[in-house]
Amino acid sequence: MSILTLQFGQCGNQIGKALYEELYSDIKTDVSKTGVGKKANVEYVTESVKKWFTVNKSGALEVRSILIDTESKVVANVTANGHYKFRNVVAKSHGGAANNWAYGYTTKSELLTKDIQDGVRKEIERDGTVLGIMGILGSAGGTGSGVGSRTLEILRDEYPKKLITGVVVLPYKRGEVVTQSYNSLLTLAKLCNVTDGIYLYENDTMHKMCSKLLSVANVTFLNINSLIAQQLAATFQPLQNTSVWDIHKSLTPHPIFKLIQVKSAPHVSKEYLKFEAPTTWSVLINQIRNSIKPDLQDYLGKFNRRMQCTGNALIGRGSTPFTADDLSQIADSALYVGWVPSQYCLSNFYHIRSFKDNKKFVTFLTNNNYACLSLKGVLDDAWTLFGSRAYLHHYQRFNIDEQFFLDSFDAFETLYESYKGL
Amino acid sequence: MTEFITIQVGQCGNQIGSTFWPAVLDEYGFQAGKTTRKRPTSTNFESSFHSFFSVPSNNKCGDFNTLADLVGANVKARSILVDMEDSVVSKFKTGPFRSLFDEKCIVSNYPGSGNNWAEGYCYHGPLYRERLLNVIQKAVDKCDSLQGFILLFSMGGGTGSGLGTYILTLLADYFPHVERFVSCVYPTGTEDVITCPYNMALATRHLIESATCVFPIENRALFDIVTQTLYRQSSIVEFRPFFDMNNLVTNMLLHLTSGSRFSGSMNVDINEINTNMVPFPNLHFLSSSFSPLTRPASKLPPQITSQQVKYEMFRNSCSRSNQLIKIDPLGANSVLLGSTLIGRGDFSLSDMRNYVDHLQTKGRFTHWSRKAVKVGLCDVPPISQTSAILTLFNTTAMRTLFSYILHLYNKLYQKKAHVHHYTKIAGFDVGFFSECEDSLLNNIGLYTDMENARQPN
Ligand SMILES: Nc1nc2c(ncn2[C@@H]2O[C@H](COP(=O)(O)OP(=O)(O)OP(=O)(O)O)[C@@H](O)[C@H]2O)c(=O)[nH]1
Ligand SMILES: Nc1nc2c(ncn2[C@@H]2O[C@H](COP(=O)(O)OP(=O)(O)OP(=O)(O)O)[C@@H](O)[C@H]2O)c(=O)[nH]1
Ligand SMILES: [Mg+2]
Ligand SMILES: [Mg+2]
Repeated sequence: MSILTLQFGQCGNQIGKALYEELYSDIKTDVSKTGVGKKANVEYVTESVKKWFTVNKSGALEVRSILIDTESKVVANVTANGHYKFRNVVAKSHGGAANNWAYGYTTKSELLTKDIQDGVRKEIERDGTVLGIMGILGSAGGTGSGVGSRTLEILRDEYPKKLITGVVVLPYKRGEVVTQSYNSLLTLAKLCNVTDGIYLYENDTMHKMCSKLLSVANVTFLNINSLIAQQLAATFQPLQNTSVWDIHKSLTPHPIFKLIQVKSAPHVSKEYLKFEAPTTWSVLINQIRNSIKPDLQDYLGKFNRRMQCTGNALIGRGSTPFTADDLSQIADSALYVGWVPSQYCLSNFYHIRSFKDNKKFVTFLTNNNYACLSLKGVLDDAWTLFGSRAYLHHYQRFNIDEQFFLDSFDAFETLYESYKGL
Repeated sequence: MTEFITIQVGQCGNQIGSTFWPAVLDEYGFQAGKTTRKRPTSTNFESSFHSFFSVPSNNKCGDFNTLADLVGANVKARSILVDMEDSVVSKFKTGPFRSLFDEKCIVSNYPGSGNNWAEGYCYHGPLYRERLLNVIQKAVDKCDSLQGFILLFSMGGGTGSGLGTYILTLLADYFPHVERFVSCVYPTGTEDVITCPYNMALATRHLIESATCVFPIENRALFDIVTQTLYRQSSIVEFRPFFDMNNLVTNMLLHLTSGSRFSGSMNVDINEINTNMVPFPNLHFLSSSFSPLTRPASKLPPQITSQQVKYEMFRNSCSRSNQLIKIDPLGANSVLLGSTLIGRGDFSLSDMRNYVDHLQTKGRFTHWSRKAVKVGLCDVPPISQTSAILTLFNTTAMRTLFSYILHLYNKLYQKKAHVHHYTKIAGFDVGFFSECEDSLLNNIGLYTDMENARQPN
C-alpha cells in the first residue's frame, strides 16, 4: 500500500522536501495530542512509515523517493536533513534544462531516465507493496516539465497497472518564466495522456492563501510548499480500510477528467490558533464550500457557469466520523454532473487519529469544471506566443517542431472544452 | 557544479579581467596579501568555487586559507588570456595572482593588431588558430559540466574585436553545445581610435551570427554611472575612473553567474537567460543593470534591507541611469521583448511579484511580450552586502546602439577612409563591409518590426 514519489526539478524537490517534513512531523506528533491511545497511534505510525519510508539496517528512516534534477544544488539542499535519508538521487546531466520543455523531454531525459528506471525498479522490488507512483513537478521550468513528462511516459509503459499520478504546480499567471505557457501546455497535454490523475496546484492561489488566510506578510516558497505538503499528507496518510486506489477511483469516473484540486481546513494563522474554539466538521466543511468557488474576479466575464463536479472526496481526520448532516452541505445533487450516479458523487474517508495536532482536519478533493479556468490561462498565453512564433526556435533546436506544438494544442483544447462543457 | 571558461582578449578584455579575478577571489574570502580568510558560511557556497577555478581532485575550496594555499595546491583560474603587446597580460604574469593563470592559457606573444579588425580576424586568427584551439580544448577538458564561455573584449581596437570575434566563431564551430556569452565594450564617447567604427561594425556582425547572448557595454554609460552616481557617494573619496568602470562590468558578470553558482529558492541557471530573453534568432543583445552601485567590498551596515530600500533598488535597476548602455528601458523608445529580475540576499518571492506587477504597468510591450518576465532569487548576496538586484532587458531601444554604430561607420565608409588598411589584408574580402552593414540593417529592421507590433497601453 505504499507510495513512491519522484521529485522532479527545483519545484518538485522543494515540495517533496516539505512533504516528508510534514509526514515526519505527523508521525512524531505527541501521542497525547493525537486523540487516540498509545496502541492505536503506534499502529497508525507503523502504517504511515511503511507507506512513505523504509527502515534501514541501522534503524534509520529512508524516504521512498527519487530526487531528480538536472543541476545538483537543489537536491543537495533537500538531502541536507537530520531525520531521514534520501537514498536515491539522480542528478548528473551537466546543467539545467534552461526552462525549456523540449530540452528536458528530448535531451536531458536521455541522460537520466535509465538511472531513474533502475531506481524505480529497485524501490518496487525492495518493497512488494508499492501501489502508487507520484511525480511532483512545476510545469513552468524545463526539468520538472520535460524530464517529468518523459519519465512518467516511460513508467506508464513499464507499469501499466500502477497508479501513476502527478502533482503539478502551475506558475504565477502574470509571468515568472517567459516560456511558462509553452512548458505548461506541453506538460499537461502529455501527462493527461500518461497518468491516472493530476493534482493541480496554482502558485497564485497558494500565494493568496498564505497572505490572506495565514496572514504571512512576505510569502516565500517555504510557506507555499508547506501548505501543499500539508494537503498532500493529510490526503494520503493512512485511512481506515482505504487504499489510494479507492480515493482515486471515486474522483475519476471518466478517463478524460483527471484534474483534481485540493482544498483543506482549518487554515488559520498561529496567532488565531490560540483563540480558536473547538471546531465541528460542519464548520470546516462550510469553509471548504466557500473556498471552492474560485476567485471569479480573476475570470470575470470569461466564465459564468455554476460548478459541476464529476466526483468529490472528503477526508476527515479527528475524533468523530462525519454525519450525514455534515456531508449534506456538499452532497447537493445540483453540484454534480447528471451522468454520475448519485451514490458515486461524494465519497468520504476517515481516520480517527488526528493529523498532527489538529483536533479535526479535513481535505476535500474535487474534480470539477472550474479546472477549465486554469487551463484557459495556459491556453491563451500559449496561443499568444505561438501566434507570433516567439521562442519556437529554442524548441526546434531540441526537435520539437511546430507540428508537435499543434498536436499538443489539439490535445489540450480537447481537455479544456471537455471541462468547460461539463 | 556548473563551470565557466572566461576568455579575455585584447587590452580592454584583459583589463576588465584584472578587476574581475580579484573580485571573484574576494567573494570566496581570498585577498592578496592577507594571511587569513573570511570564510563564507554555507558549505554549498564553497562548492561553487569550481565554477571559475579548477581545483585538483584531492582538494576542495574549504582546505585553503590564503592565496598562497591556492597556488601551492595548483588551483587554476578557468581563464584564457589573449593579447598582443605584453603590456596587460604581463600584469597577470607578475601580479599577486600570477600563478593562478596557466602559462599555457596565455597566448600573448605576437604583434598587435594595429586597431584593425581585419588584422585580428583575418590574419592573427588563422595564424594562431591551432594554438587557440589547443588551449581552449585543454581548458574544456578540465571541466566536468561546462555551462558557458564568457568572452570579454572591446569592440574598438583590433585584437579584441577581430581576434575576439574570430575566437567566437571557432567556439561556435567546435563547441556548438556550449553557450557563448559575450560582454563587450563599445568605446562610445571615448572613440580614440579612428578606425573604431569599422571595427565595431565588422565585429558586431559576428556577435549577431555566433553569440548566444551579448551583454553590450558602452563606455559613455559606464563613465556617466561612475561620475554621476558612484562619485556622489560620500563613502568614495578616491576617484579611479577606469578601475571603477571596469568594476561595473565585473559586478554585472558576478550577478549574472550568481544563479549558476549559488543556491536560491528560485534558481536561475545561466542557460535560462537565452530561453527567456531571446524570442527570435538574432535578437540576443541584452541591456544589463544592477543595484546598488558600489565598489566591491565597500562596507554597508550589515542589517536586513528594508522593503523601502529594496524597492528603491528595483526602481534604480530599471532606470536609464543604471543601464550599462545608453538606453532607457522604460522610456518612449523602448518596447520590451523580455525582462529578467534576479533578487539576491534579502529579496523575497513577494517582493519579486510586486516588481513584476510594477514593471508590467510601467513598461511598453508587444501584444505577446507583456508576460515575458523571468524572475529569480539567489540566497547569496554580493560580498559585504545584504541585497542586490540584477535586471536584464531585451528592448527595441537596442536599435539605437546599432543605428549609432552604423551612423559612425557610414561617415567613414562614404569617404572610403582607411578602407585599404583592411582590404590589403589577405583573407579580408571587400564584401565584408557590405555584409556587416546588411547585418546591422537587418537587426535594426527586426527591432523596428517589433516596435510596430507594440500593443497600445
Ligand atoms: N510552489 C512552488 N513552486 C516552485 C518552487 N520552486 C519553483 N517553483 C515554480 O516552478 C516553476 C519553475 O520550475 P523549476 O522547478 O524551478 O524548474 P526545473 O524543473 O528545475 O527546470 P529547469 O530549472 O528549467 O531545468 C515556476 O513556476 C516556479 O514558481 C517551490 O519551491 N514551490
Ligand atoms: N571600459 C574600458 N574600455 C577600455 C579599456 N581599455 C581600452 N578600452 C577601450 O577600448 C578601445 C580600444 O580597445 P583595446 O582593447 O585597447 O584594443 P585591443 O583589443 O587591445 O586591440 P589593438 O590594440 O588594436 O591590438 C579604446 O577605445 C578604449 O576606450 C578598459 O580597461 N576599460
Ligand atoms: Mg532547475
Ligand atoms: Mg590596445
